[in-house]
Amino acid sequence: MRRLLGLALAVGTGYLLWRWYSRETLTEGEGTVHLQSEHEHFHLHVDLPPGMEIQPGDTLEIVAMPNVQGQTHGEITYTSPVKLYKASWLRRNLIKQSSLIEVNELVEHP
Amino acid sequence: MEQMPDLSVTTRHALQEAMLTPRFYTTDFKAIDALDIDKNGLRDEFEWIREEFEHDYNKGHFKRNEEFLANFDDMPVRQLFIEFLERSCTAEFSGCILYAEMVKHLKDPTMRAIFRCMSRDEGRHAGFLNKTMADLNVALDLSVLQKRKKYTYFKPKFIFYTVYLSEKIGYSRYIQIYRHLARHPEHTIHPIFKWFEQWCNDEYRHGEFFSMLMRSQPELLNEPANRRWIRFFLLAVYATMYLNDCRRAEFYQALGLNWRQYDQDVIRLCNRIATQVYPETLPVNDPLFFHQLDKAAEYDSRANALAAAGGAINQAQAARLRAGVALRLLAAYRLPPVPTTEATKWRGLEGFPNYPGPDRVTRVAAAD
Repeated sequence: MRRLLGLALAVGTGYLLWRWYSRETLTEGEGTVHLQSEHEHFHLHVDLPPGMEIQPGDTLEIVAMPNVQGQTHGEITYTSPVKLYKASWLRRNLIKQSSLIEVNELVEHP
Repeated sequence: MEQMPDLSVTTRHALQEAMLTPRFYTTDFKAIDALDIDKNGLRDEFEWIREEFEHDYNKGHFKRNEEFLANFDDMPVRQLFIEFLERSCTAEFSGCILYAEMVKHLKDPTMRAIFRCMSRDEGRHAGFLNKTMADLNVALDLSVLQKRKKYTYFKPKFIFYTVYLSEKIGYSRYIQIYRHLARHPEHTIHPIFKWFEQWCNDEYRHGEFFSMLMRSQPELLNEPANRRWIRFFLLAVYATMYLNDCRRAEFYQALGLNWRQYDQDVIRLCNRIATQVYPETLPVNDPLFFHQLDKAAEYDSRANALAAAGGAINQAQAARLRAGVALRLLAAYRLPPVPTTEATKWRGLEGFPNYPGPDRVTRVAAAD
């Protein structure tokens, strides 16, 4: 019986931790997107509205994207609704500790 | 060289979509902004390198010529070449974003100007790769970039250590390929490789800036804990490259390169360059060092084959081999490091400008 209770407690704790980890709060606003995709330059930058700040573990979504068929002619700038999903405290701090292994991209030069 | 028009290239290959999935980094921008780059008398050196960046040596370099309009339908390792372009474009794009974020958050005008120039360079490289993919009938799926993007985190000092190494190993990789193909032009499977010599100078220059940034904060280099981090990142960068390239041996073979020899040459060069700033580097001339990396690469290959075969037993064996990879890397890490001395310190690239001192003639930025 004690074993069963212990198991139930572990499962319950795990579930609560998972809920805490995956909890997100959504902030919405209007961002300015700068996109250039052509021979001379390729970049995508987003200016977020004041007060909207990205922190580790957060997720950003740009809602609108013009139909540019992979190429633009010069830089295009447009406003788009943006959704910022703020990570929970637990996820934020785990991300802060775990990103050491993410060096792969930094060495992918030809 | 005149810039060629964006002619569409006829190809019998179906339109392919390239998906860029860059990492999006965030860091403690306030901590970076609080760095006092004046405290060790390096302000003038920072101003000098800002002028170097603003001179924009490669402004006219990334112009394509008629060689790019050839038909590459039957080029060797075409699919592997496309994957190589995708990976390179992702890396350049990630650098462009990271540096642009710095511009947004930093207040020091010199630092902002430098990061702006470095973002310009990386975006330009990404554009050149992007256009080369378009030649091969590969379109970038830009909608991937608008979807939900997760932001990961690097401490500022880890950004300095890794991005410095990334730029210097990038230089080492480009220049080794360029020199090899200059000696063996029959292996030049695509003209883009002819652009590498000047291209890699951008990477080298970016590394010079990060070297300066670390020198301006000596505790980043001298504290025992930070020395361990330096060795950790040296090994992380070398090992990541070694394992990745082992998986892509066929691509390097098409360039007439033995991936193992190529990687060892790149690592030796990068390790030598790193002595310009790091007080100690890895013992790459100790045969045990590459012995451990070779074993790690062998285990990694076997683990990947087992994982691809599927099945619980294969997965368990793959996991055991991956643990073996980690142990081999730990053994490489534990080899005694090589302290940098005045005699072994990297003095700079021949022909590449070094800081001439405070009495230099100020350059007219980007005007000539």
